[in-house]
Amino acid sequence: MRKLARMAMVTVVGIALTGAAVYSALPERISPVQATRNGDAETAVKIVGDGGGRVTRTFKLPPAPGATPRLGLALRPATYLKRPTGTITVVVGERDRCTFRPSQYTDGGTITCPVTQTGADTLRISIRGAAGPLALIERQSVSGERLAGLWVQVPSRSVGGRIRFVLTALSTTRPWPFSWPLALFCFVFAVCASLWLGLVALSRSEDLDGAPTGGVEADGEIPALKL
Amino acid sequence: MVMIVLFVATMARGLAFASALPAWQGPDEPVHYAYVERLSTGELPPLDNTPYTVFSPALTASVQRTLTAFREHRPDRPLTPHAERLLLTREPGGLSTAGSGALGAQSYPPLYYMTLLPAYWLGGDTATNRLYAMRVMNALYGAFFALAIVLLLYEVTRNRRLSVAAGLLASLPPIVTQASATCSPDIALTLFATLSCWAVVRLRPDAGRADLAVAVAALLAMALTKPVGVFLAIIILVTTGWPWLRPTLRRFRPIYRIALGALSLLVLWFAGTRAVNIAAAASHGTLPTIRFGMSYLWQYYLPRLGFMHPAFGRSVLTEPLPLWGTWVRTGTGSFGWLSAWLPKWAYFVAIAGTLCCVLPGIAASIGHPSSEVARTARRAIFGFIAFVFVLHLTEIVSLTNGTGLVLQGRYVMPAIPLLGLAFVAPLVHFSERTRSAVLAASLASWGLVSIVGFSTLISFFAT
Repeated sequence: MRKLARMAMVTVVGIALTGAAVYSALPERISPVQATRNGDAETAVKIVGDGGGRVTRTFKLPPAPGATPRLGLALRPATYLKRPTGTITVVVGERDRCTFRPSQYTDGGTITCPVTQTGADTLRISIRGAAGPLALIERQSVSGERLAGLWVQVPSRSVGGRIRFVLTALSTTRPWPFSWPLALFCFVFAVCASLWLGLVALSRSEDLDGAPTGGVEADGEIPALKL
Repeated sequence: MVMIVLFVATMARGLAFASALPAWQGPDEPVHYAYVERLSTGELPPLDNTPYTVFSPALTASVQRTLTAFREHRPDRPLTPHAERLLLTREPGGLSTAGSGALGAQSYPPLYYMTLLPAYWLGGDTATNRLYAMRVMNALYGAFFALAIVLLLYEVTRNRRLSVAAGLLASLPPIVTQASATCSPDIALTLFATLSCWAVVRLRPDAGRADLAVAVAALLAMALTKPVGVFLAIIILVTTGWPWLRPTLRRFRPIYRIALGALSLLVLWFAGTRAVNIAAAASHGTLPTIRFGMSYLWQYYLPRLGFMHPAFGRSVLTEPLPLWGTWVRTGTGSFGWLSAWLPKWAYFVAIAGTLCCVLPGIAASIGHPSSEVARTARRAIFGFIAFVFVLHLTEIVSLTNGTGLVLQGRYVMPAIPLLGLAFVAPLVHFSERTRSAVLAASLASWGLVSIVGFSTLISFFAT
């Protein structure tokens, strides 16, 4: 009965410690990440001149990737090492609109606008109140086409969403037996077994197969270690 | 039962890390894989490297698919798992395994790589699958290493509790688990070093042929696993094997010591000239090389003095001192090519966990200076210092030749059995209550660091 209680305690603590390890590994937030393939080449397209001002430009959007939940469109404004001053309004398709004040973006940083209308094929960008130059950093698609905005997936910010993100990432690019269930099961087992071993090795009440307790000074015949 | 649980627990921890660590993230993993691949195609060492190393199409495709395209930390990375699944192309099976050379590993002895061949053959038809099969073999090496530590400590102390606790303790450091989770010969060398210590410690002046054969086999296995294994084999033989090597007549012992020391130096010199390019270093002149070496050793462990030239370029490994960057940070856990560092507090916990054993171990040795355990401990300390000095010599030669820093904490792993003999074995002299308290503190500290290591691994490579 005592052994059963110890096993139960070790199992509960082992699972709790592994849970704590996974929880502490969860990202506080997950940045929106790219959902379509593209090339590496980048080009800065200046849409507001050095003197600043206001401007509206419309770009054509590539088709949104299918079967991707929580789609968004990511853009990278650049202000040529100057402090952002203009307010950027992004309109995707007919319905989805986002406004970014100067305090909400940085030079070369990414801004993301959630998109609910997956069939959207146009992107309208309006800038007003800019006191200096402003450009959009465009990426090149695989086919060589220049893209002002990239389709991204906006990950869920809930604990469940973040756990799912981490667990799925633990399975991607690995052969199927080495996915997250194996990693977590093995680690839980290792922690539980180590706890049990630690208790057994350090507890004076444990017999350890009739081990002599006196060590090298013990008198009499010393049994060989059983493997 | 206890030994089975220790074996399975260590194996499970290795598999958990192997699963969490993406493919090819182990130190030089593609290079070690390439060595096995060359052996599998019938090529025997020394491997052909003309005109230069060429990775096979199978290996290149796997690296491109699992590492280059998806794991580089670029502004648009990491991708969400969903996006990865959308973009990840299927790795074609049955690609050609023809290539040549294995970069830095091609001068390595073949033993470890030959033991991986069954896993390579059974692993499947893609390089990624074969790599993970080889990682399972390394997890096996790690599990046997934990058992070997138990055997070694039991041989010296005849105390089961202490031996099992030592085996568990040796299996906990994240760097040991990482070595058990990646395709790299470090954990095999550590296992063979432990078996060598065990086999040599068992030798008596009247040793039978079977004991001698086991010791020779273990020492040979170490020498045939990694070039540095030759040095360590000599060090283990001379230090832990001293009671067996020394003559029975006391008056011959001083002459014998000198002769043995000279012979060891000769063999070390021969092995050293084979392992590192000493001739190139010697071209700088003996005195300047010695001066640089002394300055290097000072700067490794102590702040640089005003009159000294900097011995190292600034890097994450040399700031604030290489002692911290190399031995502590990469010695505790670094997790692969991209080096996911543990949180800073974890290093202090690891240091505290180590000191929990080291300080009482020293006290126990001093308290019982004439016991055989304390004598073995002193020899092991001497062996450990000699091994670290040999590692430093290789780096001094490397730096003199214009190569960068070569030392990493994982290189000290094969000396873990010496550390066990030096600091854990003497704990047998304490009362059971004191010993349990000391070991509990050490196990708890390293257990925590192990859990933090797993968390760091997940956090870094999954997000």
